[in-house]
Amino acid sequence: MGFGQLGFLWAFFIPFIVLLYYFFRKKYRDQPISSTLFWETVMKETKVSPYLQYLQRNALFYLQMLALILLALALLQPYIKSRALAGEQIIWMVDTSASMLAGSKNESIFEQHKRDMLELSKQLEGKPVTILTMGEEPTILLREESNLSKIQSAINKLEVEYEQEHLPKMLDFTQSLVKGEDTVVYLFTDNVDRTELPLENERLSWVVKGSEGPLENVSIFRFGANKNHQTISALAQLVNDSSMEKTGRFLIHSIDDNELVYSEPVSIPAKDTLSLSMKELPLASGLKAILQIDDDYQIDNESTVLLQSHTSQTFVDNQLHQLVTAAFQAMSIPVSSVPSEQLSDLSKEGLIVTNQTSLLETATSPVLLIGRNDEIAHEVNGVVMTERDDVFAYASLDDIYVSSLYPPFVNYETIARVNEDPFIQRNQKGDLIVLADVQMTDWPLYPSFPLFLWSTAEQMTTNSDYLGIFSPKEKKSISLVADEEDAEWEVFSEENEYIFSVQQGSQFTAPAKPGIYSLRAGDVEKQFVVLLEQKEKEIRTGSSYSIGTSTKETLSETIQTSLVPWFLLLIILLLLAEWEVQRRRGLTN
Amino acid sequence: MNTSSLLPEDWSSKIGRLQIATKSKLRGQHKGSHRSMRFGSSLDFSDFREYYPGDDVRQIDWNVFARTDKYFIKRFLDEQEMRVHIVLDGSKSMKNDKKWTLAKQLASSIGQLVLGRDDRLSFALVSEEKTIPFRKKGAVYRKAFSSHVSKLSNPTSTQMFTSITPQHIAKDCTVLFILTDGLEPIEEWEKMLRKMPKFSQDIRLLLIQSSEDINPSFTGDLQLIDSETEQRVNVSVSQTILDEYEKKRIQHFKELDSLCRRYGIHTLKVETKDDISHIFFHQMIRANWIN
Repeated sequence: MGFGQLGFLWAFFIPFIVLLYYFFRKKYRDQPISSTLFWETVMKETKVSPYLQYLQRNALFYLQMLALILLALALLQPYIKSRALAGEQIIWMVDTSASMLAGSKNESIFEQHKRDMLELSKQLEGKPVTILTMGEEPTILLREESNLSKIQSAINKLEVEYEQEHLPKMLDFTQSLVKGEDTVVYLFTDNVDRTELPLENERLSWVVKGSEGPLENVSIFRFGANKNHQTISALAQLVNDSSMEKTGRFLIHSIDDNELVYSEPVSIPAKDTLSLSMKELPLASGLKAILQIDDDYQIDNESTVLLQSHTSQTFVDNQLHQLVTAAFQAMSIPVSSVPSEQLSDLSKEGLIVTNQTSLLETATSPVLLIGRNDEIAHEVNGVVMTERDDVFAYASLDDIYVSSLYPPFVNYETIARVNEDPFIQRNQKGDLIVLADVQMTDWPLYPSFPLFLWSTAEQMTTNSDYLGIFSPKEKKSISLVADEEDAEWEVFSEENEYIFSVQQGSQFTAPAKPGIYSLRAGDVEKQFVVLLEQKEKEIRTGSSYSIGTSTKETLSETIQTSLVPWFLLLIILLLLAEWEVQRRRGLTN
Repeated sequence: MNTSSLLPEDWSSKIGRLQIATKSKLRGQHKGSHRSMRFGSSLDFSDFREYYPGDDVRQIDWNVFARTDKYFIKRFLDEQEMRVHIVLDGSKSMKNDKKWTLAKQLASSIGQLVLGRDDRLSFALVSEEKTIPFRKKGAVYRKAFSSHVSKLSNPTSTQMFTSITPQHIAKDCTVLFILTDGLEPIEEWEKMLRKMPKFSQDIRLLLIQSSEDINPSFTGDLQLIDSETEQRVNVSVSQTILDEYEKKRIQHFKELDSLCRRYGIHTLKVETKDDISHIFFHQMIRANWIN
C-alpha cells in the first residue's frame, strides 16, 4: 500500500480538532445559588459584545450567504498564477563523470549542479521529471516522478561515477525517451557545444548547464613503468592546462609498502607538457604517482601502474584446423597464424596453440596443445566429465561427443575425462593439453568451445595475481571460479574497505573510484587498478545556455493552479457550521 | 422545632424592655398602650378647651366653671394600639439555611416585641400557596406566634417576591416590616415600592444577606442554578469574574437604597454571620427602629 499525496497528511488534524472539541469541552459542576441575578450579567458582558450578539443572532443568515457567495465564486473557477518550469516533460541529464569533480576550492561543478537541481525542483509545480545519469550505460534514477520529496532525495543521492559521459550515446538515448509533448532536456555537464546537440526535433528544447569560470588543471597525463631486470624505469607526462606556470612536487610510491621511491620538484610552463623519465627505481609490484600541485581538479593528480607481464598475442599453428583460429577470432582475441617450424623460435611472448608435443618442453611461452603429433589416437566411447576449474567457468562440456583420444601424459593433472581416459590435462607450468584433435570431436560445433579457448587464453596470458587495468565501471568478463563452492569474490579497496561482491559467473564491473583494488575469495587475492580515462584528465569549461523552439527561449512559464477544491472545502465547512447552528437552535428559530 | 431552638433561651426577657419606635401617627381603633395624638380616655391630662355646643357635657370641668363661670372641657391624651405588620419573603432564594433561620429569628423577635406591648401584630409569609395570616393582639399570644414562625416550612415560592407582596400587606399599619434578601431586579423593586407608601407611613425593609451571597466561596467551572427560576448560567469563576460580581451586587443594593429613600422607606442590611443579639441591640437600636 502506498500514498500518492503524503502532503495531505495535515488533513488529519481536522478530525482531531473535533475530537479535541469533545474532549476539552468545559464540564460545569452544578452549583445551586440564591439568584443568578448578578452572575448572569457578569456572563453576558464577558461573553458577547452587542455586535457579536447581533452576529450570533443572525449567524445562520450570514453563513448561508457566505456559502452561496463562495459557491458562486467557485463557479467562476478561480486560480492563482505561479511560475513553473516550462515543458510538459522535463528530463534532467546529469553528467557524473570524474571531470565534474573539478571546481573552485569550495564547491565542485557537481555540487553546484546539485544545488541548481534542488533549486529547479522547487519550480516544478508538480510536473513529472525524469532524471538520468550519463555513462557507458545510462541509468534512469527517476522516471516521470512528480513527488517533490522523492525528486529531492534522488538529487541528494547523486554521486560522481568517474565514468566518461559518452555524450553522443546519451543524447540518442534521451531522444528515445521523448514523447510527443513539449520536452525540455536539462544537461548538467561541464561543456557541450551547440553543434553537438540534436536540434531536429521541433518539440525538444535543450537547456545546458555548463561549468562557468576558468578552472586550472594540471594532470598526470600518462604514467608508465617497465621492469628491466632488477630495476624499474618509469615515464610520466605532466600536462598543464592552465594559463600560468605551475610548480609542485612529483612523487612516486611503491604500492607494496607505500614507500616513497622518487620525489622531484616540478615546474610546468603554461599550456605545456612536461615529460619525466625515472630510471633504476627499486623493484615493486606497482607504482603510484602523485602530483602535489595547487589546481582545481585533484582526482587526476594521481596515477597507478601495476608492473605486469601481460601477453596479448596468440600464435596458432597453421597445421591446426581452421576452426581453432575461427574460434579465437569469434572471441575477438587477436590471432597470428604461424607455420609450425617457426613456432619454436618465436621472439615475442604469447600463447602458442599447437599440436607439437615437443613445444611443451622447449617453449618459454604458455602452450595450449590440441592433439599430439607423437602418438596415435585410440577410440573411446563415453560421457565427458570435468573437474572444477577456472577454464570451465563458462564452458560446459556435458553434451560433447569424443570419438578417440591420444594417450595421456603421465604425472600431468587431469581436469577432464572421457570415462576413465584423460581428455584435458594441465602440466606443472600451467600449459593445457587437449588429448584430441579438433576432427575427433564435435566440440567445435558447441558454443562452449570458443568460450573454453577464451578462458584458457585469459588464464594463461594474464598473471594470475593481477587482473589488469580497468576504467571506472568498466564491464569485463573474467573467468573467476572460487576455490570453495560457496565462496564469493569480494572487492576491497586499497584501505581494505569492503565494496561489493561479484556473483559467480556474472559479468565483472569495476568500481567507480580510481585506485587499487583487490578481489578476494577465501585465500585467493587478485589485484586490479581502476584508472581514469584519458578524456577525463582534461577539464573543460563551457557556458550555460538554452536552445529550443518549443519554449522560445523561456525556461519558465506561468501555470494556473485551480482554487476550486479549496472553495469547495470552505463551502463544506460552512455547511457544517450551519448545521451546527441549526442543531443548537432547533428548527423553529 | 420549638422556640428555644430558634432563639436563645432568655431572649424574650432580654428584649422585653424594648419597643418599636415610630413616628407614624397612624394607629388602630382599639385601645392600646401607645400614646395617641388624638384625645381620648386615658388618665394623662392634656389641656383645657372652651366648651362648644355639641361637646360631651360629661367632660366639662365643673371646678373650673365654679371659679371662672365659664364652661371648659378637660381633655386627656388617648392611648391606642399600634398595628405592626411583618412580611416575610417566602421565595426560594431565601431557602439558604442560615438566611431562612435568621429571617425567622428576626420575624419572631419583632413579633415578640410587638405582642409584648399589647399591640396588634399581623404576619404574612409571601408565598404562592395561601397560608392563614397570623393576626393577634396581646402578650398572651407571644408563644403562639413563636411556634407559628418556627413551624414555617422551607420557602417554596418560585414567584417573584416583589410581584405578589402587595396582596399580603394589611392596610393602615403603623409599622410595616419587610424581611427579604432583595435579590430581584431593581425594576421589579421599583414597581413594588411605588405602591408601598399607601400601606403604611413607616416601612422598614430588612435585607437579609447570606455570607455566601456576599463572598461566593466556590471556584472552578460551575453551572450556577438559580434557585427560583432554575436558570442555568455557566461560569468559570476567576478573580475578575468575582470582582465583577461584587461590583454588580454593590451597585444593585445601592440602587435599592436610593429607591427606598425616594419612597421614604427605611432599610437595614443584616448578614447571616451576625448574631441575632448583635442585630437587635446594635444595628436596630442604632437605626432607631427600636428603643
